[in-house]
Amino acid sequence: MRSLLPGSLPTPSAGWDVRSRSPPSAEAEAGTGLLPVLVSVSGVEQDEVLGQPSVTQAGPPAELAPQLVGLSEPRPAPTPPRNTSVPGSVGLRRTVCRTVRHLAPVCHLKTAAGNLECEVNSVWFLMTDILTLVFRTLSSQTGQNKDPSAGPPSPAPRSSTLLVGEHRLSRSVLLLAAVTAASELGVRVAFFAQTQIQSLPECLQRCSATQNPEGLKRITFSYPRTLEELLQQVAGLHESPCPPSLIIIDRLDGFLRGAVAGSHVGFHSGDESRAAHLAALLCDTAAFLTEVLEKRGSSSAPCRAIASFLSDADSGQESRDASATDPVLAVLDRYFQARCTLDQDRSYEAAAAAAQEAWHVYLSGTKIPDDCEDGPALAQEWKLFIFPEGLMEFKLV
Amino acid sequence: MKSGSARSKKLCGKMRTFLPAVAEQLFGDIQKNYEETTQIPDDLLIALKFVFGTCALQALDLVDQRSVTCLSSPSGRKAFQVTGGSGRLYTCFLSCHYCPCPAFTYTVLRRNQGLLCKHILAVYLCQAMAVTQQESVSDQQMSAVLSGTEGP
Repeated sequence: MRSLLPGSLPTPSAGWDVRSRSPPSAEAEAGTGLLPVLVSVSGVEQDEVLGQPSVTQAGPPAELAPQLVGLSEPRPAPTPPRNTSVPGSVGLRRTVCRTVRHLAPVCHLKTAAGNLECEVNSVWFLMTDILTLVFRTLSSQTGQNKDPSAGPPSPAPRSSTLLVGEHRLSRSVLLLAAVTAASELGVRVAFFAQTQIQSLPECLQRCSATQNPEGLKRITFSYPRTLEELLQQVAGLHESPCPPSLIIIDRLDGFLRGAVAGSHVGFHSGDESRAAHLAALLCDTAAFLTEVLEKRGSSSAPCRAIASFLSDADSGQESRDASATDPVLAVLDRYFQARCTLDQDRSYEAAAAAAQEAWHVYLSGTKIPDDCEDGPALAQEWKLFIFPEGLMEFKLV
Repeated sequence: MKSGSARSKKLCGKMRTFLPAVAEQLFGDIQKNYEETTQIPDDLLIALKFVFGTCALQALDLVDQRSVTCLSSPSGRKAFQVTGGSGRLYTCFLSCHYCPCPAFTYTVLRRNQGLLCKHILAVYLCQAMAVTQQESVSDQQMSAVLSGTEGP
């Protein structure tokens, strides 16, 4: 686990952004496990940006209902409660995904086995090795080898990753990570979100992974309403007889900034303390569950954590100094070993590629004790193109 | 003492990845000396003060008062609880640095001026000296402690 010491911790103000780093070397080691990533997202809702009306359905589209039922564990009641405080008791309830509806509904994805033709939305659920796998499989059909094992090897696995970037992509990415981990890697996933997931991204709906209910049943969705509920549910994961190998928290910022000062019993009020408590609990839980899985001889070890975060700098708060470091983000950086930064390219590159949008995807992280002494710190850069028809392509820079 | 040493190393091993090498070496030296002499020599106390500043003496006071307890539950989950000077309980984790005390929030998180607070330092010292209290709790109690929602 990465040191928390100020001297060894690259703070955001000290150039943590991987954009300042050189491109990754070909000697970067390949990872084999799951690497969680914290996804941080710009605060402007997609609908607001694109002027699309929010789409809400009372129930799942008929074509999805069987799949959704298969996704749930346990099988959901007809009118399930919106939220639950019991870990692992909520499945996918409704099917409308307003945050990604207009976004690239289709992307081509092939698994390492080469037998999954799936159209996937943006993929940055950074578990860095899963991320790298997905990026590779979504690489350009024309310019690069389709073999997912081609290209630079994955970086060494890290237990927790933080993703900072465009919010409208984060949930779909996290869902893709969850589905991939559950279906393709066969690991249990605990997915926490403050707002209900009402549908899978369209690309996932066509994915053969989602047509495998047994695999998808490994995902447990929970909807804590408050930071306190989230802390209780994460803290309670050690009680589960079947612990998850992947813990995903969508939009940490929503939980942290919705907490009322003083309502957190026994802890110092303030964003930094709350963020540190949640991040430390997440990392400590992942470390404990890793031990449990390893003792059981499970191939699902280690346990990873991914969280998405929306920083103030990306939320469009004009009153905030653009150069100021988000104090909460600085605290989170202490506990997450890797970061993936999403940065929209507003140049003409998208147009030049006949794409609707172009994004920079930066993977970065400090060296961990298990890293090779001479190996480089994690640093990868990808380019993401989103095409009008929904096709998405990743290119390793 | 050997079993205590082994336990100490295991429980502190993950936390120690957050320490600079000099601090990790210091705790190792304290552990070794205490195992042999049941004392911390003056040179190590001076080094402790030099590395950790004013919270070193405060942490040693907590150690003298046997203020650090390792909670464990049937699931195997563990956490440290430190009784502060005011009698308040502070929960610290095994694998990373966190303390709910104001000093940790202000000095470590906000100002980035310290490595840790006196409570976390007391945990390290108690583990090195094998003087951590042990207490068993239920899994539900452990969850409440970890989430910070346990009762007063």
